[in-house]
Amino acid sequence: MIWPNKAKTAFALGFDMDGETIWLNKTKGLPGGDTYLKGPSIGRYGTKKGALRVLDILEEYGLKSTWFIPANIVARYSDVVEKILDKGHEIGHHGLDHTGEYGHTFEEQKTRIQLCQDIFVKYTGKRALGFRPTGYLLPETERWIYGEGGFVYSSAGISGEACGWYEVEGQPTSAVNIPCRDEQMDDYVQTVFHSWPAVLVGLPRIARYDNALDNWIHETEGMVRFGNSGSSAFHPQIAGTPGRAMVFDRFCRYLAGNPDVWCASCLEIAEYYKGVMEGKKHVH
Amino acid sequence: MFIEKMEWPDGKAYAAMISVNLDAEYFGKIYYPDVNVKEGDILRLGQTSIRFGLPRLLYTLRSYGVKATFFIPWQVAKDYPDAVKAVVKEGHEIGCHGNCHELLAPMTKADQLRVLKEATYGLEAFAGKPVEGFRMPEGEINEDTYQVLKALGYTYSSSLSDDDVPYLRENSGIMELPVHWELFDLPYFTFTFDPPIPPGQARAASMDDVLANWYYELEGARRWGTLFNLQLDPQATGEQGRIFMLEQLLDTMKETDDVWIATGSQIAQYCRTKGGYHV
Repeated sequence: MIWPNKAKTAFALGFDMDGETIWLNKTKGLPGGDTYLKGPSIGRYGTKKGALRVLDILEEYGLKSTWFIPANIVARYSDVVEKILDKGHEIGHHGLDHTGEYGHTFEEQKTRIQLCQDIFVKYTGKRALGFRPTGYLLPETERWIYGEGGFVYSSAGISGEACGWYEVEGQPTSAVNIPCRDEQMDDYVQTVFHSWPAVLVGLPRIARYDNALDNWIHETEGMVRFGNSGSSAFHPQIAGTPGRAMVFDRFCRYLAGNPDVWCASCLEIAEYYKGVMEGKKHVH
Repeated sequence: MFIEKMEWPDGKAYAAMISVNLDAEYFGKIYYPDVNVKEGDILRLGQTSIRFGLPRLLYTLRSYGVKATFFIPWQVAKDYPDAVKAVVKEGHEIGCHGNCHELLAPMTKADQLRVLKEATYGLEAFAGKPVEGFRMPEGEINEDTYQVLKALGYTYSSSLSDDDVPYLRENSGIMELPVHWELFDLPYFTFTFDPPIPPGQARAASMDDVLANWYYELEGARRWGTLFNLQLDPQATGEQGRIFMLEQLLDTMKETDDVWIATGSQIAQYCRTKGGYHV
């Protein structure tokens, strides 16, 4: 695949703006867990400051990106979502409240996803076209999502390396797969920490930021070398704190200055891929 | 730009708060809230931090002319009164870090008031003046905690992570001086075999790696005008091999001379009187 400007890879900066959801989900089973402030305050940072700082940096480098947002967060922080959209970024599906619960049957799962779409329409005026799942989906549900459900692409963690048609049970759908190797490309995995309850489990040390940055660059170079494409799972609550934003800034500078990388939103990548594969576009 | 820069005194680019969590062996409760801290590895590490780490930290702070803010669990003051007296004698600020480093959020409001009242009065007797600042014992707090702080006369807290500059909390009127785990030495370095701390027994971090992260934080604070809120535990940075980290940071701050280094109460008071905070 040759991407626009003869780039060898298409890379989408993907952000999971989870807000407090991932923290409340960890504590709600504990005594008085829904009143806890500390864990959720880490998540709140993302919608209060982190997202805004990330948007400022993206603008500086002229980069467009995709923000995957739980529908409840879209509703709660619609002012932040409006800023994201105003700056020309894309927003995509990321569950209702990041619990991972889509339901057990096709009907339940479909209803849940449609509820998320209704919330997106209510607060932003448009449906999500991209899907980054937060939990298990039945093959039947996936066929619906990437067919009649109207989603144009999937960008999930641990979903191969190549940009191609998204497959369900070995059969291609009409949606595009934009992989996200989150062992490398998820800043939460590398530098999140909270003592109680333990995040991450076992409480490993916070990584050296430079090591995280080196991994992002190595991964991007792997995409260039093997002609693959993908996305990241950065988190405004992580990437947006002052020290880590300095590192994120460096990665943006690397992306913006690398002629082998076409940096675009997931939707732009998916539409370009579809266009080429369906013969609507000539390869540059 | 979506984020407006905060203004600091004398046109300084950012503010730095050097804080010390004087947990001694009660640090074990960060990892295991119910652990017996009076035995084994945890006790030995706590005693070592008081005997070696604290004097070294105090010496370093004195040689750089820096006043720090010490957050102390009341039980530590009872167990190590001479250590707390030494801190007061050096002119550092004393803040409260719980009574016995307890998990506050699961407690009733009345129980939170009871334990924090005892801790506050006890620490004030050492400080010889009202204690203004509170840092939550690592674990969890809730809005009741803030109501209790208000009732006990606290003016600020340095506990939560939902901002990078001080802000006023709506219901309690308490000024929050936010902290972030990345600028706390203990989670990078503490290690015991039995019980395993950290629970997954990750190796202690490289000092150079941690210092590199702190320099990124320093650069970020300078660029965006935020509060560089460093948390130290004498067992970690007060240790002989690691004290250079604090020395290097303070050297850099002195050289660039664009930072307002202040205690918690000074920062809280500045933000309150100047109205220079974000809600």
